[in-house]
Parts: sequence; structure tokens; C-alpha cells
Amino acid sequence: VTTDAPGTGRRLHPGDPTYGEVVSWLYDEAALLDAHRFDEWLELLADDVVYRAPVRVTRAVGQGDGVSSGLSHFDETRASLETRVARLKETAAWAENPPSRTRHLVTNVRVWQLDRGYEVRSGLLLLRSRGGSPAYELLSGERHDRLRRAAHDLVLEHREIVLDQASLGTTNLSTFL
Amino acid sequence: MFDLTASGLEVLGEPQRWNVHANWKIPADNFGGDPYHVSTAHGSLTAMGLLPSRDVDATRIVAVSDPEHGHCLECTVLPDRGETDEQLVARACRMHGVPENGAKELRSRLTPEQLDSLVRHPVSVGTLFPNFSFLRAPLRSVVDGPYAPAFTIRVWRPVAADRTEVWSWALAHRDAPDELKERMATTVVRTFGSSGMAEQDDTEIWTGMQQSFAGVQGRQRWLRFRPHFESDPAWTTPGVARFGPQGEHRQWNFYRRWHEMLCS
Repeated sequence: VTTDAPGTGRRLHPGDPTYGEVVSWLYDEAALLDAHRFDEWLELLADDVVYRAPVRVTRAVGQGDGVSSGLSHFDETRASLETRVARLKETAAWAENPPSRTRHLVTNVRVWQLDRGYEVRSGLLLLRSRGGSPAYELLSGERHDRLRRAAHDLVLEHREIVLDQASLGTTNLSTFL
Repeated sequence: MFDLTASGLEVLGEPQRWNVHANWKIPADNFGGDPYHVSTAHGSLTAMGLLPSRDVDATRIVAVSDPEHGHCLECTVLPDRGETDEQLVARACRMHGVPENGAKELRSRLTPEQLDSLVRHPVSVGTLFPNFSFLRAPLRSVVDGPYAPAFTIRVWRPVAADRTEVWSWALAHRDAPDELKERMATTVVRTFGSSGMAEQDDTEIWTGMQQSFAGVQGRQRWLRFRPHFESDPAWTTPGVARFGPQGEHRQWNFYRRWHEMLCS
């Protein structure tokens, strides 16, 4: 994992129609997640999607990038994400029943054209409100996405969410990032 | 549990860490063994067939506690289908992710009583007083998928009276093939831990319990335990051991030890 720009690919800038298409895709995805329309969200994922959120660790300068190559907070395939979505429909999925109110704010979008698809880096700020508590649970991080063209739309084939906290300030991760 | 093979266990990467708005004793108590909560707190998992059915059959549980030190654990009594000794050991290896060549090691390292315990009623969850817990069980992380061994250890780090930082490691046997280690880590991540389909519902409930305890009624009311202090005669291990879900001696002994330390 690196937070630098990817080594290959041609940078696409705002104003480029493809850049606009990618940004619209990200906004639509965020809207589906915030509306809890998870079945439709699954349709945006490739069948062979890889979806991970590595654990962050605190390292001194020169001692590594602080992204664990070992354990993750999410380590998912399409089948496991479908299982998570199916579970959220059960009454006894208490972490999301009643559901959290979430806001996926996607910013600082950078896009590179690859031979096959697009490399996309974006900032994610997730606000989560539960129950009657006036306090938000916050998560921030950088998404490293790879999108490719499918029959009708772009689909997500790879997502790594590089969270900013080594010790998460959230009670759990019951929403998708 | 931790010393089955010569090469031992290893942690799979750095621990997950996250923060729960609950006192550290709530998760320590929960992991000490709480058969009652499985069918309600984890009803979503049982409905989807993600938990082995025997785990929700409370008659197949043995609750064990240490009345002196406050440690608690739970064993799952596995069905007896007349397997040979060899088959039983092979089943235990599959259940706990012990590599195939480990079967011989189990026989040479464990006493006959320890081996019998491992193959017939292995430990599934427990808490070493005060704030170290473990869970070891085969679990499914995909509907209709295969069961994979999950093994996690915990430290419940008290941050404030109403806040706990959870440290959660995934474990595997050092000699296991990389493919099995990866499957064990993935199974822990998807079922327990920060995003785990089981534990996300636990953390929600722990948070609610903390809110209730801190309220006016919560501070005034008594919680009544109904512990049995005598071991079931069929059980010969040290400590108090009872078949079935009426295992509140565990919570009693955990909190009794805590109270003793507070008053000393």
C-alpha cells in the first residue's frame, strides 16, 4: 500500500468526461449506502471484488507506512459482503436495528486511466449517528479503488480503505466504508 | 488450548483496536460464557445458519469457573457418534486448525485427560480474570459456506468507567499452511472483532447495558445471580463445572473476585 499516486496510468483531471463519470459513480454509491439500499449497492461490485480495510499501526519516521499487512478490519469477497447484507435484513441484527444514520462524504477525488479500468483515490469522511446520542461516531480514511467497465456501468473490482485511526473511535463497523 | 503443538501459536498481524462505550467488565463477563444471549443477541446468525447448531443447544454446554481466582470458561460437548480415537483426534485438528501432522504431537504432549477433553468437549470461550478473553470455535462467514476455525484472544483495556478499548488478535498454529492461516484470520475478521457479524451486535448491547447501569434505576436495583456452587459429579476437572446453561457461578465467581480485590 502506498499513499503516493499509482506508478502507471494517465491522470484524468476535473473537466474530463470520464473524471466526471467516476465522481458521479462515487456519489451514487455513497447515496445508496446512506439510504441503506445495500442490495443495489452490491450491484456496483464486480463478482471478483476484493474489499479490505487494513489495521493501522503507529510507526516512527522511516519505520514503515503504518499499514498492517496482516490483520484487517474488513477482509471481504462478494460472497461475504452478500452475507453481511443479508444479515442486516434480520430483525436481530442489533448493531443496525434501528439503523444508524450515516453520511458518506467523498472528497479529493483523483483518477488515473489504466490499461483496463481506472485507479481512483478519494478521501472518505463517515459520520454515524445512533439512537438519541448527540455525539457522532466519525471515521476518516483514504479509499484506494479500482473500477472497471461492465455491461452497463462501472463496477468496483478492488477497494482498500486506509483508515486514519490506529484505534477506531467507533463502537463497531456495522456500516460499509 | 494454547500449548497443543511444539511450535505453538502465532498472532496473525497486529491487533484490531477499537473503543466501546461500556465498562470493561461487561465484555469480560460476556466472554466468560453467556449461553443465554446467543439465541437473542445473535439471532441473525442462527437464522442464517452461520453458527454451528450445537452452540445454541444449551444442554450441550459445560460452564466452568475458578472460585478462587475468578476465571471462567465454557466447553462445548460434541456429539458422540461412536467415532474411533483416531477420528476424534482428526476432528479436533480440523476444528481448531491444527495442521495434519499435529495429531501425533497432540498424543505425545497432552495427558490422556487433556486429550479426552480436547476431542470430546473443547473449550470454546472464556475469560482469565480480570480482562483477558479468548474464543475458539469453527464458524461460517458465508451463507452455506464451509466452517473454518476461528481463534481470537482479547484484552479489554479499561479507559474510563464507561469506556473500554478492545485489543483483538487472530491466532493460528505456527505450522499451519498459509492458506489455513489466512482462512482463520478472515473468519475471525468477519465474525468477531470490529466489523464481525457476531460482535457488532454484542458491542451494541454492551453499550446499551452501560447506559442502563448508569441510570437512576440501574444504580438502585439489585441483580440476582442463581449460582450452583457444587460441581456436577460427572465432571472431574478442577473448579466448579455444571452442565447446561445455568452457569451463573461463572459470573458470581468473577464479580466475587473483583469485589474481593476492591475491598482488600
